Amino acid sequence: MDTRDFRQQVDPGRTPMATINNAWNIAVGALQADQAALNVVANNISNANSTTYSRQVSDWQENTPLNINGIAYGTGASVTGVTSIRDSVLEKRIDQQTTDASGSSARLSALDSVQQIFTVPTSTSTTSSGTSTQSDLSSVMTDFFNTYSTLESAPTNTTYRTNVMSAASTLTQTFNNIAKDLTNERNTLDNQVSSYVTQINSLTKAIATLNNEIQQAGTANTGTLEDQRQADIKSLSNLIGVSQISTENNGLTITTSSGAVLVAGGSASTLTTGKGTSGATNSMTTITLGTTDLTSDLTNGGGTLGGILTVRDQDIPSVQNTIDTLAKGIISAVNTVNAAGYDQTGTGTSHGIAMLTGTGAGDIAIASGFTSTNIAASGVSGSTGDGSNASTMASLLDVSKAATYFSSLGTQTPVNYYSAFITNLGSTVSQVNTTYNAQSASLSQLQSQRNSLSAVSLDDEAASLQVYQRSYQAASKVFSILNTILAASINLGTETTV
Amino acid sequence: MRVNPFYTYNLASALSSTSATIDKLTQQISSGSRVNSLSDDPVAAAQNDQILSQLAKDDTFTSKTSTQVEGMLTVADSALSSVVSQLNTALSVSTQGNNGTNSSNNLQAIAEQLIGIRDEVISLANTSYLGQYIFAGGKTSTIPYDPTTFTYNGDQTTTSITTPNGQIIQTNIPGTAIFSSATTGGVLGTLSSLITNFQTAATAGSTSSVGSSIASEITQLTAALNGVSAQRTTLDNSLSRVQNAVTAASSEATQLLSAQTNLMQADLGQLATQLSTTKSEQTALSNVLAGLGSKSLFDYLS
Repeated sequence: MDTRDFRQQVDPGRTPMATINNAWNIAVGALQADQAALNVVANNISNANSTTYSRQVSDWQENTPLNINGIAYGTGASVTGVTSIRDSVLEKRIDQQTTDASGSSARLSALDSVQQIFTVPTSTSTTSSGTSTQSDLSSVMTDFFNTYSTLESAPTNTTYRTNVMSAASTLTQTFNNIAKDLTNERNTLDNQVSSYVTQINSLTKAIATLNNEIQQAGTANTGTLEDQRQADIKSLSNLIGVSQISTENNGLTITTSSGAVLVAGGSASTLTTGKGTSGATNSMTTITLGTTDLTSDLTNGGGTLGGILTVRDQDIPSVQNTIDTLAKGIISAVNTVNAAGYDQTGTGTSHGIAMLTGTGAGDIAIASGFTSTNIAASGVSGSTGDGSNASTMASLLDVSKAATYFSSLGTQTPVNYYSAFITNLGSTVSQVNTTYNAQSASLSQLQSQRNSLSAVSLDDEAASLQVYQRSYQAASKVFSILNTILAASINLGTETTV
Repeated sequence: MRVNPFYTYNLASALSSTSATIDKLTQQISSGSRVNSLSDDPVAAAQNDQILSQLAKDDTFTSKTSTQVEGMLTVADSALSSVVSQLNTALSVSTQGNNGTNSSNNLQAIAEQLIGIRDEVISLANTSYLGQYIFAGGKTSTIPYDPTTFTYNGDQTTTSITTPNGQIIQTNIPGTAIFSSATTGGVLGTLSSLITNFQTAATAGSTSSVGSSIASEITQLTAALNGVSAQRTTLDNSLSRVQNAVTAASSEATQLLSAQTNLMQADLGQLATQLSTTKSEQTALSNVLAGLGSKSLFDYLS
């Protein structure tokens, strides 16, 4: 303070005690402000390892000056509040990217389990009866038709007939196992749905409560509450795709990406689960909000739940459909060819009966009562030594027969139909993998950006600590000097102890 | 410019992704296959299935189908070879018997020899291979020729096998085409007539009454013999066609196996190099993480 100016303007008769009091108050105010700032620094340091915490800075403001007789006297500074350093736009982008990345991740890991069902054959070795040692569907189908090729050379040979029956049995069992594995995969995914819905409900409830608290806090510092709310929203985005709409009083309305309202102000809507009865969700868990079935909306919305639902309701049913079509195609073609030939029953003059039954991969089986004598190898009535029908059966693997017998497979041979299917499945998985890697990298980058803005840097805080510490020391030094001055003025100019 | 204070998290995630890479490389090296799941190379996985399917077809033919057929054709060929030599004997005996200088006993002996030859021919006609009659046409479970009535109980069906290329090779000849041609009496019919004639001559003491008949039968038998030889050639052709098909299927199988190996086999040298690189990357990252520690300004302030 420039005391020379002061003396020029004020009545020299006035006592200087008011001035010292004022300085005293300013020093006290400085001490309090520094303490508050130190508090903020300490808070930052203690939260340094929390990944959802946004660092806070104290807001310093000069106090309103005192006006006495038209002259402004400063009244020091104070910490008026704390600001959390966060970029809400960046954080929304992170939430969206989190939804995308976790959706891809969930879909990728579920699809990977599905593709493991279809093993890649590697060996070309054969067992003693001539069948492949590999258990994938392509090898097993090939084996079945090849046993007819051997049968053609000696149609009455009982060993060859037995080989046909056992290859047929392996074929139907392989189909059955694939169908069972696919159903199991689907059920495994289905079992996870209700626990995710429970998590979603608890998150939306927490967000609603925080909304309430933030609103009630009014103008007080809500940084910590907002951090908690942001953390909950991030967890929610991990599970499903959400949209955030800011409302008055720092409130947030959360809806699904298709618009169904989950949180509005202080109230959260609860999702319920049920059992589907038709379509893609038949006998699978469905998710409803009130009376609306949200299952297909959530499937398309991303997030872990979205990824799981996509595989459960779209990817796996598509695979099941393809395998069922293949099974049905084989059943139909095999039965047609067997019926055209003559079997070994009686005098060899009866046409063959249906060899395979079933409506798809799950129930394809050898017809009950069909034994090796029912195999219609002969193409000539009464000639059990003829193998021309066995030759026809063996040739079902050839492209030339596809148009006649496999119109349901798009006139492709069973092996070609199957290999087109695995290319499709493999490509889908590969593509989801690529997408996931890109999204994951992008998410990392966004996180780094957010962290560089909002995360606590111990170096920064250490520096701030030093600054406020020195500032506190300075203010307390002023305080002690003023104390000495005040003591002197009380003792009327003499410096003695009070 | 502020930087991300949590940069060690990025390092940690880079470290875990090198672990994942090492995992994958190790799996490829130990399985020897480049493609362990469909997504590794979807197109290669599909081609692999198709190649293996064709390969299995060739293998089935070369190892099972063809050995069965070759065995049968060889047995048929040797049966017909015996038939030819029997018929040659029959011809020389009949010709000699018809020269007018034989006694009753001689003529009786000739008749009995011819009966023996006919029985042998019938037993050759009823040859079986692995329990199936090879000259019965399609009725391979039935004896083709009744030994007493000499009637044919088989049928006219020709059997065949199909090679992997789609070639159809005939694998049998119905008995009638060899042993009993309907119009001329065939082998069996002619032998029976000769036997009857020589028995008549034996009773009469000379061949004068049946001489011309015997002569024409000798001509028929010669024609029948040529017929048998011709059919034998047919079977020989089938055998060599089967053997050629086996050679073709084997060489196709070799090429397919080579193609499949090239498609699917892991390049061990390249994988080993990649593994080594990734491992050093992992070591480097670990060292950086360890070295960075968690120092901050606090460690330097008094």
